[in-house]
Amino acid sequence: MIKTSILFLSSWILVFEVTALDIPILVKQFSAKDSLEIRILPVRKDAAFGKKSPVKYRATIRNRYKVEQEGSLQYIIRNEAKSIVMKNMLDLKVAAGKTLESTFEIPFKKDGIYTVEFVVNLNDFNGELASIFSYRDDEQKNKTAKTNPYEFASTVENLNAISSAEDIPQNMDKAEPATEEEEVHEEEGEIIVVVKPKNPDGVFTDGNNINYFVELHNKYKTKQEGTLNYFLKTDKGEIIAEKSVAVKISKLGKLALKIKIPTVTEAGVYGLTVALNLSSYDDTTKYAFAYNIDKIKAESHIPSDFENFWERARADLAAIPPDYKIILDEQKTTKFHKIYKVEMTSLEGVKIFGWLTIPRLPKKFPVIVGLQGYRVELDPLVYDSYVGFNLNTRGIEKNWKSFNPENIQPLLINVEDPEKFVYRGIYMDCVRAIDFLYSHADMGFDLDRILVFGGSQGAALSLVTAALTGNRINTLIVDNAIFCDFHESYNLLSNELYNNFPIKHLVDYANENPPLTIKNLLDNMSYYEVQNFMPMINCSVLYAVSLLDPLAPAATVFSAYNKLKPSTREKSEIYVAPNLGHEVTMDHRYYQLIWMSEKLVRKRRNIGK
Amino acid sequence: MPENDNGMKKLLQRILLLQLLLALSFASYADWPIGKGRSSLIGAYNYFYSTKYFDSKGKLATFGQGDQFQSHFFGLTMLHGISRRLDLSVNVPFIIQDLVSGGIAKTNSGLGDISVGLAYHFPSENFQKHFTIKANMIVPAYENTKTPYIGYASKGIQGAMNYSFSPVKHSFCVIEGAYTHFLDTQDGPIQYRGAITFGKSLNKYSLVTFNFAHLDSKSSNTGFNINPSATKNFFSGTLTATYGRKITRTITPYIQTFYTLYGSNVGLGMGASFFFIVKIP
Repeated sequence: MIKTSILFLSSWILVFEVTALDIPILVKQFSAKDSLEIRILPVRKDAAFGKKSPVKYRATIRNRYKVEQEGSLQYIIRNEAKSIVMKNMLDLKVAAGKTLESTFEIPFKKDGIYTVEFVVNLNDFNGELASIFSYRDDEQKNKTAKTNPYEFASTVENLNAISSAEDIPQNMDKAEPATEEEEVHEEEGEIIVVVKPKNPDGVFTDGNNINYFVELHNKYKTKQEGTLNYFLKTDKGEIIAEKSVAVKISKLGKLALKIKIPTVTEAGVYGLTVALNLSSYDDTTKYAFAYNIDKIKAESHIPSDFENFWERARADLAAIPPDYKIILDEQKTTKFHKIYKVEMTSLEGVKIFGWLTIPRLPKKFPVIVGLQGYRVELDPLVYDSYVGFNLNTRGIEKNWKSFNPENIQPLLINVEDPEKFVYRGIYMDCVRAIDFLYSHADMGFDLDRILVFGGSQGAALSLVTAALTGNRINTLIVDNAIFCDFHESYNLLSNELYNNFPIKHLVDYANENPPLTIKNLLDNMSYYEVQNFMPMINCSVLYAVSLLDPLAPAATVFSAYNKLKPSTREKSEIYVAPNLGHEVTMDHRYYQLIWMSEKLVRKRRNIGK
Repeated sequence: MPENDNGMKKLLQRILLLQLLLALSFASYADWPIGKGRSSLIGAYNYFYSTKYFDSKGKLATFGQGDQFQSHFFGLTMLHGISRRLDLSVNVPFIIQDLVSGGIAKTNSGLGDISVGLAYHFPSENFQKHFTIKANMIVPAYENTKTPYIGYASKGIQGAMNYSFSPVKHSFCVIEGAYTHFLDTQDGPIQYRGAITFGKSLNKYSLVTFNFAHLDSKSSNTGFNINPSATKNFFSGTLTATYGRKITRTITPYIQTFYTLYGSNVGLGMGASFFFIVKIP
C-alpha cells in the first residue's frame, strides 16, 4: 500500500492582527465569506480495501454559499499503467448554508493498487483531487498503509490538488504479501518520516552542499526493512538523479540518514521525491529546494508597447468620473470602528466597491489596503491603529451578475483581446482604489504611510498596483503571487504539479476554441504578466514564495522578484517556505506584522500625489 | 552616604525599574522589540507616601509621631529600536523629596540617576515569545550635598533578562530577573530583583496589568532610618496595578497604584502614578 502525501492547498487566508495598545492579537480571519469545504476520505483510514471492506469513501461538503450548489462528483480509477479502469458520476446537491455528508461505495473489486481521481463540479466550484487505494480480495494480505485525507477547501482559487501517480516509483506499487508476523501486528504502528533540508528555508547557493536529513521513527513492534528511494527532478518534472538506499529499522527504533543531493549547476527550483518502501509501510512524499534563487531568470516577453498600453489604460481611467459614494454601514460599524462601504466607478464605467474601516480615535492613521484573491469577496479589514481598506474589484459581488452573467472563469473574460481583457479593468480598479484614498485624505488617511497587501491574485494585484501608481505606496506584503510568468508556466506544464490554474484554464480554452492558439493567449498575457511590472515598482516588498506552490510556480515567482530594480530589491525581503503549497506559514504572518510596523510607520519620501 | 537616604534611593529605583518595565511592556508588547527605527517616549509622574515601615524582622512598625516621607518623581524615558532585535533606552528622572523626622522637615530635589541601556531580544520562531537580555549603566546626575539625599550618588551596572509570552488570548506575561551592582562604595549594595507582570487587554483600546516584584538588596550597611527605604540591606515585595487607555494612535496614558506587601528594613510604600507613552511615529 502506498501513502502519497498530497499537497494541501489552503485558500489564502489573511490573518493580520489587530492591536489593542499595539499588542498583536488574533482577532479575525478574513477569508472568502462564500466558500465550499470539501473532504473526501476513505472510510478505512489506511485506504486498504478488500472483500469484507468494500471500497467506500465519505464525502463532506460544507456549502457556505448563500445559494444552493448543484453538480456532480465524478470518480475515475486508474491502474498502475494509468489506464482508466472505472469511471462513474454521482449527482450532488447541497442546500445553501448546509453540509452534506454522504458515504458512497465504489463497486470495484480487483486486486491491485489504484489511483482514484475525484472531480467535483458545482455551480461555484470546480476541483480535482487524486489519491491512492488498494484492493485485495484476501484482506489479510493487504498491508497496512496510510493515506492522507483529501482535503480541499476553496473557491478562492479553483484549486486542483493532484498528487500524481507518476511520482510513485514502480517498485512501490508491487506490494508483496505480508508475512504472518506482520499480519499479526498490522494496524499497530506507523513510520514517522521527517525530512528536512540542511538549510531550513530550502534555499541553497553556490558552494553549499545540498543535504537533507531524514529521520525514520518505527512505531511498529516489528523490525522494518526495505528501501528508501529518492528522485531529484527539475521543475519541468525531468528526473536528473535517483538513488536507492537499503533501510533497516529495529522495532520501535529510529534511523537517521543524510541524503546528499548530487550537485546541481543551474539556478532553479528542484523537486525531491522520497519514496519509502518497508515491510509494513510505504510512503511517498514530495519536497523541493531552490538553488541560486537570485540567478533564476526568465525570458522576457514584454511587448514593445507595454508602457504605452498601460498609459492609455490609466488615461482611460482618468477620463471616467469616479463618482465616489461613501456609505456608513450601521450594522458593521462597531464601538471602536466606523465602517463604510465605498462605491466607485472604474474603467468602462464598471461599479466596484470596497470596505473602509476607520478607528474611532482622533488624528490620522496609516492606511492598509487589501486586494483579493481570485474570485474572493473581501470583508472589512479591521485594525486599531490603521485605516483598513479592502477592495473588491469588478465581478466579485454575487448580485452583480450582470457583469459576468454566464459565471465563466474571470480569467477567460475577453481573453482573446488584450485591449478588452477583464484584467485591464481589474488592474485599473486597484488604481482607482488608490485614487480614492488620495482624494479623501480628510477622512483621516495618512497618505505618507500606505501599505498594500495580498496573496495569490491579491499579490499580483498588489505588485501591479504599486507599479502603476508611481510613488504612492510605501510598502507591499505579497504572498505566492500568481500571474508572474504565463509563458514559463506553460513551459512547466510537463510537471504535473503545475498543470493547474491559471495556465491550465488558458490551455483548455485555447484547445476548445480553435483557431485560437495558446500562443495567441500567451501573447495577450504578456501585457498582464506580473514580471513585466516589477521594474516599475519603487517601494519595498516583503515577498513570500512557497516551493511546492502549484498555482504560482516558484521559479516564476523568483524570476519576477529578480526583475525588481536593484534599489527596490535592496529594501525588500524574500521569504521562502520549502514544503508548502499555495500558502505561507503562520510564523511568516507574524513576521509580516513586524514588517508592517517597521515599514509602514516610516514616512515615504518623494511622494507622488 | 547617610543610611537614611540609601533606602530612598532603592525605593525610587525600584519604582523607576517598575515603570520602565511597564513602559517597555506597553510600548512594545510585553517587552518585545520596539521595532527598527521606531521610538517611544514615556513620561511618568509618581507620588510616594510612607508613615510606616517593615522592621528588620519584617514586622510592620510606625514611624515616630509626625514623621513621614513623601516623594514626587518625574521621569522621562526614550526607547529607540536600533534594529529589529536591539533597543536603546535612556531614562532621566527628576525627584523631589520631603522628609519629616523628629519634627524637622527637609526637602531636596534634583536630577536622579540617569540610566542608559541596551536590550537585545531573541524571538521565538513565530515571534510570539521573546527572551531578552538587558544591560544598563547607571550614572548619578547629582552629588549628595544636601539631605534627604536623592540616591546613592554611585555609578552602577545592571544586567537583566526576561521571558515574555502570551499565556492566554489578548494577554501577555513577562518574567524578569535583574542584577544591579552599585560600584562607588564598598557597601554597594548588590540587588537582586525578580518580577512577574501580567497584562490583558480589556477591549481594543484598554489594558490592565498586574505586577509583582520582589527586590532583595544586600549590603554590609544594615542600618535603617525613617526615610522609608533608607537602607542598603533590605528586601520587599510590591504589588502594582495599572490601567491604560489609548486616546490616539500614538498616545496612551496610564494610571497606576502600588503597595508594599511585605519587607524587611523597608518603608511601607503606597502611592499612585500617572504616565503616558507616545509612539514615534
